Amino acid sequence: MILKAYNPPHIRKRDSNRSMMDDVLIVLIALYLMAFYYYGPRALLLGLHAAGVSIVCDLVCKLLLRQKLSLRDHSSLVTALLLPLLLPASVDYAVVAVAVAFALVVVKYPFGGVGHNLFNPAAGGFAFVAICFPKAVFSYPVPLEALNAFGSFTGRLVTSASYTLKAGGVPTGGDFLSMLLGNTPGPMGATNVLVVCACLLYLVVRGSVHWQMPLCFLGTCALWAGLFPRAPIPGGASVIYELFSGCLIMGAVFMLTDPVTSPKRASACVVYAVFAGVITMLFRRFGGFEESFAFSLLLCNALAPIFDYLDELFYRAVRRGRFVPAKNKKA
Amino acid sequence: MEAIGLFFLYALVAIFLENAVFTRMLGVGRMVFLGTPKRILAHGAALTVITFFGSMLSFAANYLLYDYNVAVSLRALIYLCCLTVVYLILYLLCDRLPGKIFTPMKKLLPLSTFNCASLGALVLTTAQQHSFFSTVGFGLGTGVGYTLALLLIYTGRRRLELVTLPRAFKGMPIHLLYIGLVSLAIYGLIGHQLPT
Amino acid sequence: MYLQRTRKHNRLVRRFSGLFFDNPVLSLGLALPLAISATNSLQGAFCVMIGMWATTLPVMLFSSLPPVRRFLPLWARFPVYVLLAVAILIPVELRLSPIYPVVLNSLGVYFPIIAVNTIMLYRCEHVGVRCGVLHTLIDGVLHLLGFSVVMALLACVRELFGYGSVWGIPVTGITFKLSGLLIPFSGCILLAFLAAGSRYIGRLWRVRNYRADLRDGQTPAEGEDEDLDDDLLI
Repeated sequence: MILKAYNPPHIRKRDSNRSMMDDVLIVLIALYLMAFYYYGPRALLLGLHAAGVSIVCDLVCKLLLRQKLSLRDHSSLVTALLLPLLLPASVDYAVVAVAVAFALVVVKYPFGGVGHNLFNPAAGGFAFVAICFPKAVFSYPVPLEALNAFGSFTGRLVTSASYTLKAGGVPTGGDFLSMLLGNTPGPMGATNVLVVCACLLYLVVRGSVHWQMPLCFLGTCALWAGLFPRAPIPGGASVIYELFSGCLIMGAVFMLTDPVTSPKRASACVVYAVFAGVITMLFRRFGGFEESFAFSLLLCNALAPIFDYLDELFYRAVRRGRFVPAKNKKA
Repeated sequence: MEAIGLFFLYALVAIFLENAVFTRMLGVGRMVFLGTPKRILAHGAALTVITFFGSMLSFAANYLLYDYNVAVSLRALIYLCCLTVVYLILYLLCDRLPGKIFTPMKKLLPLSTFNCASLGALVLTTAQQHSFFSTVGFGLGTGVGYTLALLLIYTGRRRLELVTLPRAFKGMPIHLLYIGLVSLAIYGLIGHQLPT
Repeated sequence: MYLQRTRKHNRLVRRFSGLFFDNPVLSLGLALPLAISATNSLQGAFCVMIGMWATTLPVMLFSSLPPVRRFLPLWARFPVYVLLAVAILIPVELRLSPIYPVVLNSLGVYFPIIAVNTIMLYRCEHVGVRCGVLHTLIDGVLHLLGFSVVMALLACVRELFGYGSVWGIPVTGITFKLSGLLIPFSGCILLAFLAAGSRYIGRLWRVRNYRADLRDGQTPAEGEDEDLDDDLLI
């Protein structure tokens, strides 16, 4: 038996940490290309800026913690590239820098670094920036309009479908096809639902994510949206509007399935995903912000060890129930 | 019937939306960083009983004081007198009642009574002029919410034991960071609508 | 002498414990609600500091008086301290409220909380009941100074980068304001980093002393073993 000392989070996988992160990087680059199509070079520049800030923060933190500096560790890069995709393309460069710095320096490294963080860094960064700059984070540019590449954004800003839903109105941004292809105002990477679903398929086929989690999560959200619509629309339309607005699907694919912060067994993941779905829809209905997936994810990450523990108790009870002691051999 | 509904509504608000530990940081103290579930449950149960009965007494006191516009500290003095009365009654009970449960509680009782969370709960409810059932519900909910918060921090601590933390962060700093991040998550629920 | 610098450092720690080395907020974890939630603005922190100094010192002195030490039973100690503290807090608030009405209103529930603050309760039980009046006074003053330094630092940082002002006076240089710094969770996070930072710096200092001592290469002299434990006791 060959024992290899790999870092978490891939202890049971055949391949290494690096190939798991590389899969996600490839998929994120595909999303950046779609964002480039809709929002121009500013999307790519925001991504590069975030990557640069993450490399600097990585360097500083690893030097302070005396960890080994290695170029092969792409987990901070994944966090950094994920963050601008959750923000509008019109956001300032400073806001992105603050988000990435908070995500790495506060949420990731004090808890132990790669593979040990208790909370999802991208969710933490987005949450902090949403509280500090709500106007910048929740007003979006119109897609396919020209955006200036450098400096602050000077064009027209609109509100997205999630704002209309939160206010109890019916979103009029576009029809079903434009919502599917991403032609509506929204977070840079989360509007093109088709591409995000393709990313999910790729990650499931490569084995990087538990397929049960996004499925159960989205199923729970769809059920809730169908049963308790927030606007005076029929159930089916409510399901489509709720799922396609905001970062729900993107969060389910990239943030919820993070192997470090989610429970370990598949059965625990299913219960966790259902719970996360309920909490997300409750936050959406009663919360203070229009897009509150990041906040609900932070709360679910805090409760994830409980799901592991309960799952283990359940399996032990089942095993004890099935256990038949060997018969004594008496003469 | 409506009163009981109000009671449970305010209890739920105090547990989830306006949690003493995560929303207002009232219960954060040395108790948070150490403790096994048994000790947490004992401390939390004592706090819950004390805020429950203390809020009843303080509602009565507030009702008598309604006409006078008193300073917050004078109100706090009266509420602390209410808390002292409840504390003395509970201490007598723990003294007289037999058993292994009640005698160790005597040690926990002073710190559970004169706690930021209990005094904070009394000052907060009575500042907002609620009815009797909502006040008592809020008091009960504060205690229950405090216990649940401590149990959540205990779960986080168990998870953090599996991890090599940076040496500077072991112990209190990482617990504070954990509380801060869960508080960030709950802030997304209440937004900017929190009365002090 | 063997390990001379370490001994000197330890003597310094013991004499000034409470100010930088065993800071009540950063190391011992006392009075955390006040340090986290009342540091939104420098004026609020100042009001809380005045309240703390006014209540904690007299109560600690009271707890170290010989009659109190001997006759006050265990179960009555906490109620007496707390009621005394809140009785002192009433005139303090009446004196402060004409000067800082808005600040006291925004502090809300955190001003009466000073009466049950854990610095007073813990230090009365640790030091007041066991040591004489002078020792309790010094201990109280040092701990309150440590608390005040931490409060002032946190309040300055949060007000400067949150509102862009210090003591209500706007500072012209600050254009980038993070309004998330004014909410209690960021006080918690900042305090966590401050605590970790102070621990890190303290450890760096101790390790530097120890390594310098070892580099001197001395050995313990004859009969120095009795001194060793006393001075090296941290």
